[in-house]
Amino acid sequence: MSKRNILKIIAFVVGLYFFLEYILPEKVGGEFDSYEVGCPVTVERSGKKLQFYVGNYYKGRGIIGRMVKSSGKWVKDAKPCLQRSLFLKFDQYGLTEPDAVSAPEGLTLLYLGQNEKEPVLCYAVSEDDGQTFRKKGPVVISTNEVFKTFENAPNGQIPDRIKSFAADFRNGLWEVYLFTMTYRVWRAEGPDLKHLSLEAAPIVSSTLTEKSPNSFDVYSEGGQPVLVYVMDREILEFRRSGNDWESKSWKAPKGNGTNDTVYAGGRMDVGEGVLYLGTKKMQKGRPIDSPYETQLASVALRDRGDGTPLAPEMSVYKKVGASPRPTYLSYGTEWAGKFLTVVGSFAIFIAMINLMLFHGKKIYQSALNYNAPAGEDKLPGGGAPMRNFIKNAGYSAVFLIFLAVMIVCAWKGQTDEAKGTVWKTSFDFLFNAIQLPMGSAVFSMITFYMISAAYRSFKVRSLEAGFLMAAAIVCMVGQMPIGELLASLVPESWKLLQLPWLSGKLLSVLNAAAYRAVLIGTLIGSVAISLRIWLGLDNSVYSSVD
Amino acid sequence: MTEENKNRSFWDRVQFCDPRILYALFAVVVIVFEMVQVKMPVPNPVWVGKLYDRIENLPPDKAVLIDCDYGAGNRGECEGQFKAVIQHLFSRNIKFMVVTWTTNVEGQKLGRQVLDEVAKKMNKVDGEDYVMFQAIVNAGGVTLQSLAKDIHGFVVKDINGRDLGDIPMMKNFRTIADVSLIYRVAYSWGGVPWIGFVQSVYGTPLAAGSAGIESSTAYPYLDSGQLCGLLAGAAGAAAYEKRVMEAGITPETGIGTKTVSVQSFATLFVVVSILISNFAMFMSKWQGKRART
Repeated sequence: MSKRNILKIIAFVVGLYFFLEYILPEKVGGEFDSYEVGCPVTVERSGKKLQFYVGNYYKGRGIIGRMVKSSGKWVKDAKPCLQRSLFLKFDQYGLTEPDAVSAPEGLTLLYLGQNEKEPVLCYAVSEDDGQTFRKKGPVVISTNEVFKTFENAPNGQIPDRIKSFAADFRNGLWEVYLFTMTYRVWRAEGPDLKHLSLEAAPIVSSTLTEKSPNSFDVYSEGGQPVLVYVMDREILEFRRSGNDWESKSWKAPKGNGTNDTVYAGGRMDVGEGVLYLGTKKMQKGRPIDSPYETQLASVALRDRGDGTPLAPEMSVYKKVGASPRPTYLSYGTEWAGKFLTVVGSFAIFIAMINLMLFHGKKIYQSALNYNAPAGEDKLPGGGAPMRNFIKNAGYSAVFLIFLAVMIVCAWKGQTDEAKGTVWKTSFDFLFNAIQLPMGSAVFSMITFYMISAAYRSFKVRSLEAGFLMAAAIVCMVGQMPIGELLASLVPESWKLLQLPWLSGKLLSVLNAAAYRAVLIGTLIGSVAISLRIWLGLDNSVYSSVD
Repeated sequence: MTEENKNRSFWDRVQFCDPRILYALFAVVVIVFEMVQVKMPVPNPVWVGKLYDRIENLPPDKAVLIDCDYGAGNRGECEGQFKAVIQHLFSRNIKFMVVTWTTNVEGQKLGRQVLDEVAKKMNKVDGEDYVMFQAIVNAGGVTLQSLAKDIHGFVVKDINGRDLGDIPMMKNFRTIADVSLIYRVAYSWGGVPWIGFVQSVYGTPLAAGSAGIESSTAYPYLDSGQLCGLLAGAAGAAAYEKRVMEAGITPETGIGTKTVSVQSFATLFVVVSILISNFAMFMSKWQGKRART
């Protein structure tokens, strides 16, 4: 394989690598939940207490993760247990609002799949206590046996858009409670999740929920379902009493944060209490949905009877400000950063050696020709040997001397103990008394040339040149105090004659628009060129490699 | 006067005058107004106010990251911008980290001089109130991305050779999530890599200070909200110094205000010389036309 092809393949692989990093970071695992976490739900299976939660890599691209309670602590799995599917329409944009149910056929996880249309209630089954799940598709609910196609109604004939839901498995039957966008609760029941029948009317069609609850869950108590949701920091319950539902509420436990929201999903019977898990949203000077700031999960143990807090417990599974390492590919970008830093350092080193070789060679050749008769030497110039030498190699010698002195002084004078020594003083002197003034002098000289160039060349020879000059003068003077001084002579209402105002408009409107257009054009060109190189269509770059 | 010049008309001679005359006049203007400080009204650009307000409202538990990349050539314009901002940060007890680059050693040296001077005046301690990192090799956006993800892993040591882990204030600042503002001060604001790899990814606000001549390229980003403030040239520095002084943080204005006064007259000189040159061109053309008719 030729070098050119190898380079093309490397370019392609590197490009693909960063492309994947951008579009599919969570698919490759790693810390898929770096953006935020939420919606915890707990379940007990095979004697283990499990917690599932939604982690986001990007906002709104939820993936389900799992934690296992071990020795009193929640331990997070490194990889997600359920991810969105790029090629399945119903959850290709992410997963939200999970609910876990321990059913005979396996641990079942129900979730709302996000897609370009409406959220779809889906489910997946695990045979290894939630480490991995196999997707089973949408839950199908109907009022009769006519099922509609996915495109129209993936969940069958639900009369409204699903906002949240809760599921339970009791007495060999699945019960699913659907909380819809119009704040109604519908109940569906059936032997399996592909054959659920919706009750004719909503079980709760209430104005109680006007404030839009932020979670919803169901659990069994004494063989009866209890519906739980949270609204305005209150946990509300609906208990079935005959054919009716009675409501009851209690205050949710307050967290330490300034803006905590208790999440009702994730109830777990523990001893005498009912465990409620909640997400605590941190807000410190930034919007609540900022990255890396909403990662705390709190757990509060509450009395089953009256709901008084028993023992608040915190289950922190991501610390605010923890080092975000979202994916394995991100390690690659960090590695690339360090690699480029090392290469950059070498480049500086090589440049220094190159400079030393170049100037050393010049001095060496001048020295060899020191006594050569005028006119016969290989180097240009003539006359006295010393004059000739200085003419040809003087600058090189000065450069090398200063380079050597700077290196030695910097080397010896960099430590704290070197303060006051000749090395440190010399280094500071060379820098402050030679390098800085020379830098300023060179820059200042440009101004003189600019004045000369402007005086000679900045002529109004056309209308366009006239506009250019007018704009230049307005911007130059308008940004200076002199412009402010001139503006003070003009009445406040005559904005057009006030140079600071006019220059501000020129810069922020005309200049910004024109510069944006140029920038967009340049970037489109860059993308096109990058694509050509990446796909191996551009031969000019690598054509000389072979 | 050369033979060629003798044959030229007066306006032609003005138009094509010896550049050394311009140089000398310009030098005189700069020297005179450097020695005789004329008090001028300081402009008050809106973006300076926005940066000031942003710093006023920064949370005290987060740090500011300053990218100090100015050099000797643009010291007159940028030093005032850097100094005024750090004075403001010190006054609010907001901790900050200063990043410099190996490609511009002057940035580190000059930045440190200013830092030491201001910190001494305001009784601030290196390592507790501020820190300056060892210069980093700038390899573009990837460098900034790595820095944003893991400051301790990427920078390792500060300018005094201390490990970042041993510096008291750095214990709380580990990633870009702990940074409430990025402020880049340089000749060319050149913050596109900061926008592309940090600001747009993590949402950390970015502000810039640059030489006046380079500031025009920053305006599209101000309008779009990607830059939250801009100090353009010595005028920007002077405006910020004025605000800092009015807030009682410093007793007087600084180098920006001094520079902007001189710069103002230098600019006026440039404008007037351009106008004279153009006037001479028109007069010469007019005379030529008249002679032909």
